[in-house]
Amino acid sequence: MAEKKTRRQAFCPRFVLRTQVALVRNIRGVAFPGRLSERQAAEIGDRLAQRLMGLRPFVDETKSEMFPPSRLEALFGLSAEGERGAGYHVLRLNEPRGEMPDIWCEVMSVNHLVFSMMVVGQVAEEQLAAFQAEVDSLAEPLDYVWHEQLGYLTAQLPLVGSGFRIRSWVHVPALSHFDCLAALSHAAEAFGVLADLDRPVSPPGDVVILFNRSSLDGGAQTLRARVVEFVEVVKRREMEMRKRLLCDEPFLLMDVLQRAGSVLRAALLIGEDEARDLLSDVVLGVSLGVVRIGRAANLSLLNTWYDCCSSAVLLNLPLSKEAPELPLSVREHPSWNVDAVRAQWLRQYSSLTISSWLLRRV
Amino acid sequence: MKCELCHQRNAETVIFRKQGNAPREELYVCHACAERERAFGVERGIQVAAVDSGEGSAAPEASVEPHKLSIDLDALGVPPRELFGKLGEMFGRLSERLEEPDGAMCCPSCGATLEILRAQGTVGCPKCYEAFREPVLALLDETQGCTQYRGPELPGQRRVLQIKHLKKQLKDALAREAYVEAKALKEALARLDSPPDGTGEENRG
Repeated sequence: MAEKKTRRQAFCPRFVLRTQVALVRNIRGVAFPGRLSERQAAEIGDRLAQRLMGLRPFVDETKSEMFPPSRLEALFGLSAEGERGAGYHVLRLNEPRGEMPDIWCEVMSVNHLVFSMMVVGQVAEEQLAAFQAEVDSLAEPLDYVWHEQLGYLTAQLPLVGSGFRIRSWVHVPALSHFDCLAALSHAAEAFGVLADLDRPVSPPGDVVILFNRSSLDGGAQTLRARVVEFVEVVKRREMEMRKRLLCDEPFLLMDVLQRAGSVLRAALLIGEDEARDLLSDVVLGVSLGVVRIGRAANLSLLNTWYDCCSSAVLLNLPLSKEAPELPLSVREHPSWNVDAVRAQWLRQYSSLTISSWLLRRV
Repeated sequence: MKCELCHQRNAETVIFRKQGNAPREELYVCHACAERERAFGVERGIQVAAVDSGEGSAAPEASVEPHKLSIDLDALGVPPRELFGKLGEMFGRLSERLEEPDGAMCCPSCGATLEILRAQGTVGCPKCYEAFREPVLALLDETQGCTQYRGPELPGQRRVLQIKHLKKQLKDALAREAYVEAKALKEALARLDSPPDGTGEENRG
């Protein structure tokens, strides 16, 4: 009975890990990024950030200790440090709005504004509407540049129109096991979207799907509908592959899970990529209902850890509190610290229990 | 020749890719794949050195020089033809399709060339959309599948449309020598032109 229940629960994990919604806007009267000198860009960027802070209670997080640049990139999908030119500022709207996540405004060099928010899972219609309303409320005082025929103008042609961009991080371990990610990436283009593999080297992996080609063809809700439509297609394919792993190739599945458990149990140092690989296998096993984990057996916690095991996030955790049992020798080598903490952190998933149903099948 | 990445569409451009210490790779690809490589290459540690028509020249951004005079005029928010009357109007018309010495078309405002637009897929300033109207519409048709915004009304447009309408009415009134009407229209325009908080100049960047 319990087995039936766990098998019913299978196939309904959190499929879309997180979604970032971004709106690009440019201010009338100044060239787009790349057409001014670094000094001019810095000057205009600073002035624009000050102007924004005068309009709304934005907080300048550019040099914040709470959100250092690498963490902003890892947690909120903001631009990488290398892409931040002169005059770059990160502003945060600090008004708590119930279910609404933080809205960030990146003042890129010159007059390029990128408003964005990161939500867990799929973005809801209400969240999208609230986000757009927040950005639209600044349209009048900031005077965004627009064109009668083309809508909002920006330097990047795929964003001309509404300026919307939706990026979804989708976890597809089964498709990855069957080496279907490249085909998936190509298929995305038929839907007018860009898709790319987050980590193309080692399966299993994430697919980052970038939806930004429907900007002229409609507003936020149209784009969201396309996101949902495409993700549904990917989800169907992923479910087919999971069924295949479970029913047709249970030995392969068990091998994957056993390996993940063994490495988790034995490793003293685990890198970011390896940690994601192992957690991906564990998430697959738990979501299929064929594996139970020792402590804190919670799929949503697993998904959070899958998101947060990057070095950029772990570096900012107080190491001594997170892993008090670290060997002293590791502490003497700062370059190993994060990998050691990660290994310690993941150890609780080492005691995998493969279900008797799967063992019988094999 | 088919695209060397997707093997489906025709190759239309070439990218020069370098990953780590590996030798530089020359790939003939379609626009969609070129764009994807540019968007995601950095995350995978790949440097896309240049994207263009097979010449293998240096990165386009290295050759870009800012067009300072045009940008300063632009920053004022007033087109040259309004600053310099008839002469300005003639200059404006002439400079709309300014050509570089080698014959390549360039934007009169920011100096961006058609080559840069084709190579990088990015536009230099709002005026590039008029200067390179045809190629931009062709690229939009290719990337987005349409050339006309079909979404909901964009906020902030109503005021600009009103200003445009009032300016037209003012011109008519002046032509008819209806000065009382023109004065009222000028006042209405001034009210619309200045934002409620009176910081109109600052947001010009």
